[in-house]
Amino acid sequence: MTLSLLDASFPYWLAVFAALFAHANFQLGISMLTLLSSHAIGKGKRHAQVLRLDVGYTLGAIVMTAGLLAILNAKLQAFIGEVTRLHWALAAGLLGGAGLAVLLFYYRRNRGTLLWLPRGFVEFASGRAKKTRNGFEAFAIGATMVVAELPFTIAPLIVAALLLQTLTPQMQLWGIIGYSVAACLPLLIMTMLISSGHKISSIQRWRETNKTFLQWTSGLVLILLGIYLYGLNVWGGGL
Amino acid sequence: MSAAHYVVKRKRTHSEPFDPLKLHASIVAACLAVRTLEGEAHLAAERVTRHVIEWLSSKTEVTSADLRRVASSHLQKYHSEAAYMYEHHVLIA
Repeated sequence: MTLSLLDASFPYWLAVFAALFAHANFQLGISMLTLLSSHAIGKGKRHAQVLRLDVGYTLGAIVMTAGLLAILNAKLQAFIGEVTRLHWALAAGLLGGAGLAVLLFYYRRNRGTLLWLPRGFVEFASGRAKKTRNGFEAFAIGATMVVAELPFTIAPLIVAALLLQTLTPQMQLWGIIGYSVAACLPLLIMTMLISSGHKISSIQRWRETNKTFLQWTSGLVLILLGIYLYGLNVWGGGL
Repeated sequence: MSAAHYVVKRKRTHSEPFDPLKLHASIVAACLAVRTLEGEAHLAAERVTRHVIEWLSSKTEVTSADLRRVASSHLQKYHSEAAYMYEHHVLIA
């Protein structure tokens, strides 16, 4: 399929990419993967063991993202049937709210990359990530982190689920798989960087240096996507 | 006075005696996490632990945050990347 600005499917792809971009920018998963990897390497685990943990964690995140998107997709199909302007208006409002929340609250205002999530939960999860010894546990932690970040990621997930309604059932399956893998692309890239011998300290330094940029881009993209979808589907003719 | 007499408060909920081996192990882990060779990691950890014990000689009670700050400032001299990870690993998530 060729894609051009005049193509009828262009607004669809633009919305999907914007939702994916905002989703992939969220950092809890990356933070936990950083902790998990640094502690595994620090304990002198072999390269293959570290890689197994990282791959397990990333797979957990991908599977949970796919599961959540599939559930949302099925629930939307079962309960709302046809997507109306009201649904798009609600989704646009949710995107705007999530975008504002990201701009105002996502990172704590101090050094490092601490996030505005319940500290008790994050400390428990960090403790587990540091002690993880097998791939299954890493898988479970990866899956849990996707759920923990739902307050921020639910908006792009709902938009993705609404956009999936425009596809055939077979294409919906590919859409769910494609979205989940793309949303977890930063985890895949980080796993590749660590397995290729990159220092975790340089990755963490990069994250810390660019955290404001990442926060502003994901927050603004969510708000702009909300405005775009509202204009397109509520004021305009729809997708 | 032996270093074992000093008490380290953690999160103000409980305290424990200062354990130089624990400090040594945590510095070795930070060095290994940034792909330092094991021998170099142990050498840096030994030097930093000595500096910290020296610093503790004039103290009766310190917090774990104080220990982390002092240890990482000394580790900075021997391995800046490891010092960054040592200081920041509590600030990642």
